[in-house]
Amino acid sequence: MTGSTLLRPDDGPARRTEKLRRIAAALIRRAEGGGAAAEGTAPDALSGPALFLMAAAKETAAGAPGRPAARRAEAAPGDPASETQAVLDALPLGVCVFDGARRLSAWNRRAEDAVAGAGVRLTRGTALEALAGDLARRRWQDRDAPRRLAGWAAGDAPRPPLTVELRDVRGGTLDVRAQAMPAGGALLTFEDVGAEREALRRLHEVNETLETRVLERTEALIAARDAAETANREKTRFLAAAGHDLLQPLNAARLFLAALRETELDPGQARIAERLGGAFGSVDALLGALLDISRLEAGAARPEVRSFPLSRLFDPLRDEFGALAEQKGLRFRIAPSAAEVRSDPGLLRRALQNLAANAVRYTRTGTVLIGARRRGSDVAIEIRDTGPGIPRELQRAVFEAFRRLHPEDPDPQARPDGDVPGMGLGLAIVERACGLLGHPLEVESAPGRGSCFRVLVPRATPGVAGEVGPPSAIDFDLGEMIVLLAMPEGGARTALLRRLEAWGACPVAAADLAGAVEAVADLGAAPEMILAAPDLEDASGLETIRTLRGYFGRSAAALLATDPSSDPALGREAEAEDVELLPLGDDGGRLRAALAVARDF
Amino acid sequence: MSFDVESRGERFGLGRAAAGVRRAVSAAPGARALEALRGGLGDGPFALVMLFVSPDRDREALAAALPGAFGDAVVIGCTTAGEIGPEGYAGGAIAAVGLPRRDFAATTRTIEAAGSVRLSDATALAREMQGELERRLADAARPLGRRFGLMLSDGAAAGEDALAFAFGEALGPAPFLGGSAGDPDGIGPGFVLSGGRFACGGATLALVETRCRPAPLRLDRMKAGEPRMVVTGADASGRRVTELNGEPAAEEYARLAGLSVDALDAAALAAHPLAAAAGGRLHPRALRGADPDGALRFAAAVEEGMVLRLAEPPDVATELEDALGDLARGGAPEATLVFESVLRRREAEASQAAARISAAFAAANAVGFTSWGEQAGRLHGSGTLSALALYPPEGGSPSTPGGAP
Repeated sequence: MTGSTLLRPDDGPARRTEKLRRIAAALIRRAEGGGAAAEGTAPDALSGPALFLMAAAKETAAGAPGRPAARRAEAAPGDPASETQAVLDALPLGVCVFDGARRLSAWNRRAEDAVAGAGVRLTRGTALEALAGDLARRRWQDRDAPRRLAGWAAGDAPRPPLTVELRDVRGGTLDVRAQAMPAGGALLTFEDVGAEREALRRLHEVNETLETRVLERTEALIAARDAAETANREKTRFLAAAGHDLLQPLNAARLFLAALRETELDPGQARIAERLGGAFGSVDALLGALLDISRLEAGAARPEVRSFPLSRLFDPLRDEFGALAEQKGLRFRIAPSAAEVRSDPGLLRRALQNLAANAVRYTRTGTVLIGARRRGSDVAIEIRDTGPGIPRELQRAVFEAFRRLHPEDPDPQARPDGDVPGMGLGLAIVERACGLLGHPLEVESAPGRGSCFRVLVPRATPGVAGEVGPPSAIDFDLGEMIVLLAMPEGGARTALLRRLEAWGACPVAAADLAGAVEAVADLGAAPEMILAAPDLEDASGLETIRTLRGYFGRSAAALLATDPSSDPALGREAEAEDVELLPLGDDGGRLRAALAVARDF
Repeated sequence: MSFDVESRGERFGLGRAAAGVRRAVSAAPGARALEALRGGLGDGPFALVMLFVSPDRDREALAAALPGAFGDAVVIGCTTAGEIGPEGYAGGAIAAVGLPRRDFAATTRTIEAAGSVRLSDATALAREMQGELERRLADAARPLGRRFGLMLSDGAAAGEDALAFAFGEALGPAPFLGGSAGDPDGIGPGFVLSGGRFACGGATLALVETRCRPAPLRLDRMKAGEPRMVVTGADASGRRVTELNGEPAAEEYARLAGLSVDALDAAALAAHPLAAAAGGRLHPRALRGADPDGALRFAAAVEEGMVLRLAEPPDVATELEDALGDLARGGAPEATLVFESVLRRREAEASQAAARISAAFAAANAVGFTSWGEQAGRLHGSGTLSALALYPPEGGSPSTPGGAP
């Protein structure tokens, strides 16, 4: 799951993790802040952004001027698609919002759960008094608390906020806070003490778990707030997350199984182990396909188009499917091709693999033939089979997920160990991959006459073949020069790191002298350039440079990131030590020049 | 020459036009502009006159010439990133609108430091203004029937969220709208005219009662693209975003928009607008520009954790023609007050749609200015258009002007 635009394609794993943590932390902070704003503790403390959210919610609910009907339909309060609702649902506490007429206008799932325990159901328009009265009529250990809540609900505005603890007869405790809203409405929040602890624990986890979990959480948080996601997108996102969670234990199970098979098993056990392996293989392949499709649908896979010879895809196909076809008694032939195409090799391979797998799977006798031919400025890649064929009226439907034309299949012979029966995802993957790549996909088929699937891929312009690198690397390349950046963390350091990486250097960052020494020791090589901030936590920039040069010799060029005119004395001192001063906010020209000089030495 | 002055009322030459809402624009040099505007608006008497003034004009001279220029009418106004007059888009000019006392009554208030206004202060102010307007109308025994609120503010003061929320809330179903002032580059502050002088950092509010039926219009539809940015560093009070996706903000925006970070000029910002989801839909977030430290400055609220999406620039001309066409279905409005985002104007200019928009504005009898923030109801937005159509009073106006409130 790397395709998210949140990350840069050239981010290393450590950088990705750091960025995702920061993104997750920001989203959570806003969700928590939103909660505080919704509680309406002090209207004057509401920030501009909080007012914007409240205003947007109210204006949308009120209907926009000019086109009221359309706006209302677009985001009725309580519509799960609306972001307000998503934010409410993401809050770690139950929330019931009452409008100016003290009618229930919005609530979240946690609020439903909280009052469901007392047998109360939430419906739009319920009066605040009625809800509080309903709650008070249930059985609680302490009769006084619910009565106070009912009294508060019946009272006149303005009322001071009220907090009561409702303890049910089974020992559960519900913390209820009632708050008048600035516009005359009211807000009830329900907090399950146990649930609160759970939420805290999970917040903690975010900072400690692995990158994949941070990513999933981030994706989930964004999904929760982003109203523009369609229902289908939500589904695929779920599949992606579920797929990741499932793949991990599955891989572990397969490892254990492999270990088991290496022990001495009697023939009966060996057979069972064999079948277990097959079953795991099937699940693995199914999940892989689901993940593929969810990635493609979620737009997470971004094609990286380059020129490459088609043979690079054809050769592995021969290895992958040749043996399988032979086992089924099929002729499997790939016509060699010298064509160069422009596409994303990974995505195109996925499409061709699925087409080939389908052809082999559904063909009982005869031939599967893969070849390529020129067609105008394109190369048409064809996968022909002598299988059952597809009736014309179903030729669109085969691309739908989970669609199989011959459910009574598969042919048991098409299921060697590790293969999966057709589950109807192969062509859906092909269609989405081709759609993403912009490659037209054609089908020619008739029942009893086999099928031909054709993918049209643009031909590479002759002479431009080869992989295209990022443009920034072309005009200036530091050739993996090691640059040590001794600077406190922050935007300036991040910007410098990005810039150095773009120039092809290997920057190593440290926040202080101790960190710098450690970083260089870890690296096992002397830096060719040291770039230090004037003041670090444990030493001055100049001291840092001096110390590092003491360790590694004076060969490293050194820059002090400060304006020479700001401190002439420092300038003279630096000059004496052969340290150049680089003004902050420099447009990069001087840095480039200094780096170029250092590299050539 | 003052022939660039034009008034709708004169063009129609109808009986009621002589005393209807009057509009004029002038780009005449120096003091001649004010002369031209006085001629264009006529004698009134006016309850309220609004002036939308190009930052190229000499504000001091204008303020000095104002006393008595429009009789005893209250005069408010602000500087602009472009003016909208009877002919549509204008520049380097002053656009003026006069609300005649016969059909309008107004009460106004000025806030000097709009950025530090608390919600409770704003709410109290709205109540106070409502009370005052009601008392005056009761004294004059002339209820006019319909009500709306107006705000002109310095966009750089960032106080619109609390003011719009409080007034939008207090006015209930009655329309509230406004525009935020700023120069065309979005760098300097906007100046608000009230009490006879121009000042930055503040806001002026008007509560208006009228015989004319008011109908508000808000254009803020966005179609978002895929690239998303999470705000990971922000200075909410300054509406500055320092970091997006854990990267320096301007750099990350430029990367996702496919721009060079050194080329984030006005045209590039308009061509790659941003939107944020709230209340179940997307709201444009207009960028004022990039700061030297790599932060991005916005014209409306931003905060950490907000998800911004790159959006397609709207088809401003078609959208506006449709919306104004809808408003004119039962007869053209007498006047339409318009606060339109500078981003929309830039997009119109970039897509050669400015002439179409000017024509649509002229047909809708528009007057207003190009803004760095637009208020509509409780909502302060940016990158939008907020307008108010005023229709001729049903059953006509009384033949003699009512008593001056």
